[in-house]
Amino acid sequence: MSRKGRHHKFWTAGVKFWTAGVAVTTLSVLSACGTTVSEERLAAASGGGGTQQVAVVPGAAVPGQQDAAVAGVAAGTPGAPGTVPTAAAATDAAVGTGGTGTGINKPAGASQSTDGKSGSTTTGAAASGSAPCERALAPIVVGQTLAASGFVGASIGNQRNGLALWAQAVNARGGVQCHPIRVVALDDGSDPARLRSNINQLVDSDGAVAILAAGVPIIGATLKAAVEQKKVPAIGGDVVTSDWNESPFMFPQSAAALTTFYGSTIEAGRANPAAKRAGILYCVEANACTVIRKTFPEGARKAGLENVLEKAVSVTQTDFTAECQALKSAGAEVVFLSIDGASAQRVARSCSSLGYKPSYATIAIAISGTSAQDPNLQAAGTFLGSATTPYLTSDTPGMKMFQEVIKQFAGSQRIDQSTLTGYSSGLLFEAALAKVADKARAGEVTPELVMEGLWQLKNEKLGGIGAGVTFAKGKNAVSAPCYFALGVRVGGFWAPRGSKPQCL
Amino acid sequence: MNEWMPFLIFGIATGSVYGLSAMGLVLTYKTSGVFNLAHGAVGAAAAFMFFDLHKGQGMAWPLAAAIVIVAFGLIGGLLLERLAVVLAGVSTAYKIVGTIGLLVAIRAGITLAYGEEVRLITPFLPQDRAFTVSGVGVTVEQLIVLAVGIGAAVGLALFFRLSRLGTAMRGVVDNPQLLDMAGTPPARVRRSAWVIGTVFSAVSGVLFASGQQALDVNILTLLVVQAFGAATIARFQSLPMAFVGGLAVGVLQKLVSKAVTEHSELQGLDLIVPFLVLFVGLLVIPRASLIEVGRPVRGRSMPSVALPVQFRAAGYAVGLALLVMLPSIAGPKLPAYNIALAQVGLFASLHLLVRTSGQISLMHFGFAAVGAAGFGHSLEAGVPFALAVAIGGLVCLPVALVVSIPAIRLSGLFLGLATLGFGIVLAQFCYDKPFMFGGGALLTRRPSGLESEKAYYYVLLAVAVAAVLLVMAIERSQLGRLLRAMSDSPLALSTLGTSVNISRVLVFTISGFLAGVSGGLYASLFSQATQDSFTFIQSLLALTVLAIAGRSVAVAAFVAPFLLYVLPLYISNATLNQWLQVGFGVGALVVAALSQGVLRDVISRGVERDDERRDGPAGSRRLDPGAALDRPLAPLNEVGHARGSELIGAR
Repeated sequence: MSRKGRHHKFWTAGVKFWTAGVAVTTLSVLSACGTTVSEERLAAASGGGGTQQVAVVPGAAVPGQQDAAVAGVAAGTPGAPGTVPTAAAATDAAVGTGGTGTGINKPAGASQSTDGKSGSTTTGAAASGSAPCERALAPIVVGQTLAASGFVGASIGNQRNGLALWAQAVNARGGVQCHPIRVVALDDGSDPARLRSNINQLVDSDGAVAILAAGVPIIGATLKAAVEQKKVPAIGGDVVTSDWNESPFMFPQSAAALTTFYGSTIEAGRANPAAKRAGILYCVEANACTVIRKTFPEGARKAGLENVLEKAVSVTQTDFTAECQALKSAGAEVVFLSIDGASAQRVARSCSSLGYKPSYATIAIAISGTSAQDPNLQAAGTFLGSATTPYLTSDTPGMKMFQEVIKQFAGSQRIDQSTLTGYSSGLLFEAALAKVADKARAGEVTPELVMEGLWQLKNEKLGGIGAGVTFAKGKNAVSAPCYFALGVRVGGFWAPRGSKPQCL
Repeated sequence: MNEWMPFLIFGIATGSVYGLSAMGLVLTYKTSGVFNLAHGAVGAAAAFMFFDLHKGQGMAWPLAAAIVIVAFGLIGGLLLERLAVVLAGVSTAYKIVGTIGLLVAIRAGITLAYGEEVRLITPFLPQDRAFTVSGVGVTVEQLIVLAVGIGAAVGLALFFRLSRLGTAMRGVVDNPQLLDMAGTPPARVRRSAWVIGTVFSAVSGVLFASGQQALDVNILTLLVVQAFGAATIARFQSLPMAFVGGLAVGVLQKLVSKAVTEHSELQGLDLIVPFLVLFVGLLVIPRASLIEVGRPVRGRSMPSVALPVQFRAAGYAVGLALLVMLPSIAGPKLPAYNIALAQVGLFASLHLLVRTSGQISLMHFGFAAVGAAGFGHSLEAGVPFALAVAIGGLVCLPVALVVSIPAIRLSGLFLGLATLGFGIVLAQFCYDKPFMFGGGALLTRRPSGLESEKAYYYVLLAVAVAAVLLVMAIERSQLGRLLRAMSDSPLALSTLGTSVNISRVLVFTISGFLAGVSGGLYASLFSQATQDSFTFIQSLLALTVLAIAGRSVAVAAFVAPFLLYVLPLYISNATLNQWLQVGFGVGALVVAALSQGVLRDVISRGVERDDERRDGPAGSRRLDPGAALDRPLAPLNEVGHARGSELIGAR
């Protein structure tokens, strides 16, 4: 390095490094906090690609994942925090696993539906009196916000595909009340700020008349506040938190969260008629875990079980033998797992090592397709309460239509309970507009019109997909106190009660 | 006794995992002076690599293990040694910033290479039951982990005590020049130490992943945090004691788990045993036994910017004008700006604590959580909004008083670890209790008539400006002078008859209050407050972000939350986001390295070596009178700590 005399250069090595460091860091965005940033816009139906907001093209392939066919399910943790390091749910992408199990075969290259119907819905209540469309009216934009990546995204990400499937199917029939549907889906990464921004974007900039199939298991209250402020309806979603039944702007497609929690315990108890005692393991890292803990005593009571033990655990524990020993000593024959899927597997393994095999209960989004292959969870029997009927069934009008849609449009896409959640949200929207069909066809579809239609839905079951939900103007949604049962046994997922709702 | 025996067995199995982690931490700390918070992340990277080779590529596990341990351990060790050389010459706060940056970069790198999803794996060690004790089966895998831990503890203890290299490793941190004079190159000794440490980390990571039966970068990264208590028992010095400490913590944890089974209100107490051991241990272990390894480096104040007052005032005015106009520019992303404004007070308080008074806090989001809970409970009780916010700050005062106790007797790394331990205790034991979030969401609201994003933005802006002005006023007051003096030389201050302890307590309480107010404002943004928004990891990130956000409180307090909360919203590609996290981690490392001029000195030393090589032994260079100003006068020691330049740059 040559010396420059007494005159100091500005761009010394130190300054250069400092500038570079600050520039790099400034650009680095510090999403080290873990918020995801993927912002995606999905076409409801487009000619492949699916990352551009385009006009509806009937008959095109549904953009989506090309995952191997696995027995997927709405995976997910009950809610480990979404910032930097937390537990994450197991997903189907297990190293070295074959991804087998029960599930729907998804033939590739499905053909388009050509039944010529238009403006009709799949639900009996909604389909009445729909006249064929003479021409396509202005597109209706609907928005969706959900965690599309990270551990929450792994649990509920398929809601996006489910809504897209619905849009594809309904557009193939001419749209909803002759209005083609355009879906704009944005990733919120379970970040309240991002969700708020998404709602602002969707409503103010994109002109969305409703938010469909929101995936907000951790930030349900933020969604509630946002839609109340914007005065747009949130129609259908994960329904993991009680917020879905606590606002006149929230419209769940089926059972309330609490009912499904109770249902898990009830089913686990039913599987073992001699069971008299129950316990719960709940994680300390996430609010959702501790919320479920508070509801567990009532769930045990409804299941006719004595609540004998509530143990706090950490999702970072390498094993749970101490907790299993405590449960075993307390005589718990049913154990509710308010933890993520990977931890649930470790619990089952730890308990099995003690020769202790209780029935397990957990919420539907906690067990992914991969977790469902765990031999310990299968051997013991695991039961999940779901807000909608098991995706495996096909004996109701709604599920028949769902299976048809999958066959025609899903290709090799992975189908799980989240898919049905997204799909049924679209059905609910369709059912609402069917109630105000004349107004919808006569002019612009607005959020007020959508809600006017929703308020006319009483005990809406979406063709057997849901258990019944009633809306009224200015009042919170009233869901039928019924749940659907999903189980894990040798071979993977199954529907212990078929498609029938179980009512408390 | 029989009913307790199984828990003893469980504790030994768990404790052997803690012990292995603790040994790795202590090993690298005592041989480098750098407490590597990224130790777990290094192990996680090794685990991912191993299972990719073994399960993904079908390689036999001994070969995969050899490749990972040898190649990864060797290369990783050499790279980390270079990093340690740079970080050894910076203050403790920047060492922590640097290792957090490394943690973030490694974690993002793993996500880029392997994706975000958790991978479930089948363990490669035998799962057969070796024997049964009191009905509890002990597997071969658990025995192997225990054996590895015992073997490593004994082996490393003998190595340090009996071998020449081991003795040299103990000496290289304290006095590398003396070691050099004795004929042992310090650089080679350090590299050997880091290679051994990284190999150790790799082995631990692989074993832990196998035990978890899952590759989860977050869990593997954070598993090491639970080993801090064990490292405390070892006084961060003794490897055998680190393993014994791990066993002790594991056994204690499981026994507590058994004891609290019947007590609902004590649920979670067993989970915080490692952190209680950490916190209490740092309080009760004699101060003389807690020796911070390496040469203490005081934070060097950067030369102030020679800008005229009018220029600075104009700059602040422009900045304020921009902030006032922001709602018109931000559009739909205004909610993120509101979050950032709500956190300005927290970062201002952290600046006061860390930069002005020289303390370290790795639990500031814990204060914010307490404040949020106080705010929420006050609102539920019908308290008006403004008073509820103030109460949120006030409830942090007793917490701050408790946290200031370790500050009275500790400093540097140990103070940082004590605050970290306390923060984790808060998060894992207290958050779900009725006096905090109560296992649910506390309903909150914005002030009446100011619910819109834009209206509330101006409320938050006013509070943010007030918080920054308050901190600036404190810095310019006598208290500020006292705090700076305390940071510079507590001993000198105490000889003047000023109570250093009172100053420490005062700055913690002021800082805690401001962080609590910030927590309350944050909680008001989204109609509810839950524990999910206040994880202990955010406290680590807050310190790191603050370090790179600027020097003055007026800049750093606004820039830091902007970087943390607003900028991510403008990036719309997940892969790019991960690359940017890598960049953030590297950026934090660079900033840490630049903090004391260490990197400049290392570069200068290299340049000087080049010059000498070029000019030859006769030295044919012309002496330029001005050149002396560009080069440190005193020789640089091997740890990159330019004592001479420090003397030149001394205040």
